[in-house]
Amino acid sequence: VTLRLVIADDNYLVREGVRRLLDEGDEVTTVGTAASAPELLQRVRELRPDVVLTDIRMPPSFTTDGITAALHLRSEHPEVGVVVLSQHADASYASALFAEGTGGLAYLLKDRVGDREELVRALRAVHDGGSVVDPQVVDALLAASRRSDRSPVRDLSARELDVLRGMAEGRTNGAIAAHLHVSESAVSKHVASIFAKLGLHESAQTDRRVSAVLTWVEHRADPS
Amino acid sequence: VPADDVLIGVVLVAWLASGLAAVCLTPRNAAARALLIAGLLLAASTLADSLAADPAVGDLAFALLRTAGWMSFLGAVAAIVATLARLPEGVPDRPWHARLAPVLAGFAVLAPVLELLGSPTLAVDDDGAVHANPLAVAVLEPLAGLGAAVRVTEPAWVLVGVAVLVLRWRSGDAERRRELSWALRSIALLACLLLVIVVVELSGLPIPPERVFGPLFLISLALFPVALLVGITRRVRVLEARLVESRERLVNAEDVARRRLERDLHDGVQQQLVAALSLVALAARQATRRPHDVRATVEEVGDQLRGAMTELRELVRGLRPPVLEDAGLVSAIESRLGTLPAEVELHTDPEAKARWAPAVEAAAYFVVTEAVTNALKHAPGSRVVVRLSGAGRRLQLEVADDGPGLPGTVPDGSGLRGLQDRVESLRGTFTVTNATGSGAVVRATFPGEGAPR
Repeated sequence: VTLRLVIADDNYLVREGVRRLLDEGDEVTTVGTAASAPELLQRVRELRPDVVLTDIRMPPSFTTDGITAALHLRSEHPEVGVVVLSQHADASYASALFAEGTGGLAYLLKDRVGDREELVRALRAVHDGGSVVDPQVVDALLAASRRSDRSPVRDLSARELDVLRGMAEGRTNGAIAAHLHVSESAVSKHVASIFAKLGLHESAQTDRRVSAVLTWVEHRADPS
Repeated sequence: VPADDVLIGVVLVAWLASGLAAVCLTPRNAAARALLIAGLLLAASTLADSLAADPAVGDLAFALLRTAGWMSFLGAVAAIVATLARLPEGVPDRPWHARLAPVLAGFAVLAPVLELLGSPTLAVDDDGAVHANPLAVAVLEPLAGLGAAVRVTEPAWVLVGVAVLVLRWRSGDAERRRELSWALRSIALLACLLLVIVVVELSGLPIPPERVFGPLFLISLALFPVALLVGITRRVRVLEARLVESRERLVNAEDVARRRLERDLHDGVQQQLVAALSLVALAARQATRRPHDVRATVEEVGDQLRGAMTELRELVRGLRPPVLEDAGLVSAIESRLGTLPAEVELHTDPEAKARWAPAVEAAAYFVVTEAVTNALKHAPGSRVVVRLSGAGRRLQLEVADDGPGLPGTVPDGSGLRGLQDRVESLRGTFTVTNATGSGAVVRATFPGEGAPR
């Protein structure tokens, strides 16, 4: 199935570069582009795409318009998956995006436009109702979480943190195992241990795992 | 009468204390120094007079003391004129204001000396007993009268100081008027009292002036230096407030500049790199699917990277052009003017080509480039001339155009205010002369190293 995509970025070069990159193949086809947040919402209403790839900083306010638009789309068109591309690796932007749930949302750094496979994977994940978080952003979220004294994230071993990162990126146990060059059963054990330490119910579904981890990071790490 | 002595003491203390306070508050202020000198000379004059009044004093000592008393009193008058001409910040508005006091000081020394050397006789006491002058020089006898005339009339020269003060008040702006108002008020009070004393004296009313007006006059004479001190402290407060404001503006300007830089980098170079990155990924994908298209895509990547580099170079030049540090101010300005669409004349003297402190070079560079840009914007087609001079280890620069002049109130709002803060924070001066019809002139001067701080 080819995903129907709307791309939003106020920079023409970026918009066209990403469009051409993603259209080079049959996983995705770009049905429309937008140069601002209001234009993006308009395109989605008109074109009913499967997924949206949007820049975070756009007109009209040039701040976090992409996040605002993503949250808007979440309530207006829950069936549309949204990948937000951002220059910011700070945890607070991702927190704002995932404030009302993680399903169908992804937060990636703009560097990912150099990796078509990752982009396509993220688009497919949000289309399936899952979520993806850029590893650098996961690190930022975990760092923020670790700063809180009693956070169980502090109890996680280095290997468990690697696995947690992989989970947040929306990977399956198999993908994490391949990435870390360990056996899949070892990853399963780590996942079980992580879920136990964080006090979460284990789930095999990748999207629900991201969601669970992020929800935990969001709401437990920082009591405020 | 002892009461009068007490009042005279009060007057002297008021002068000395005000002068001391003024000098302590503003040690580099010439007006404050003049005020203190006036107080010291008044005290010296009073001391000399009281010593000379001792009946036991001899002819020679009397002659010397009386001359010293007159000299110091007339010197005090000159110092008061100097104070009034330089109030409150110590810098005269016009050069001739500053030249008044030295002339009067010259008279203050010359006149009593001429009188001393030219008079064959001296009146020693109130009874009019006449004594020979042991220091008389016969040749100078014709000049004694002249000396006496100058000596008698010189106190009236205070009026010249007052006139200068009034002139400065009239030509000053609201702030200047506030600073001078206390001095003028206390002068008005003195003048009124003098007038009343004279009127009472002439009208023959049964009011003994020495009982009422004398003390009142002395008290207002004591208030006079206090009023001058108020003007000086007011000035200090104004400067302090300005310093706080300009510091705030500098900090805000830095914040604004950082934000602009962040925006420029984020929306410019960073996006271009992102776009190039996506094209690199595209080329990699094309290599396996459509190898013939790879070349064109890679060329596009090259174009975008070149664009990013050009933009980055422009950005860096806006921050602080490397040529400024590597080759100096004149080279940097020459190179910048060369990139402008219009012809701009540049005149420099050899001293300007020396190296200056980095902060001075940067400020001077931005004053010139900003002023030239302004001139080209507000006076398109006009002749723009940049002059740089480094004579006397002072860097002076001027950007003049012959356009219609800048619109509205100049320094506020535009980038010129930021430039002014920047120049003044380096102890320089910054002025914008904006004559309608004859163009705008921006001038900045920076003190060189070792300049008085």
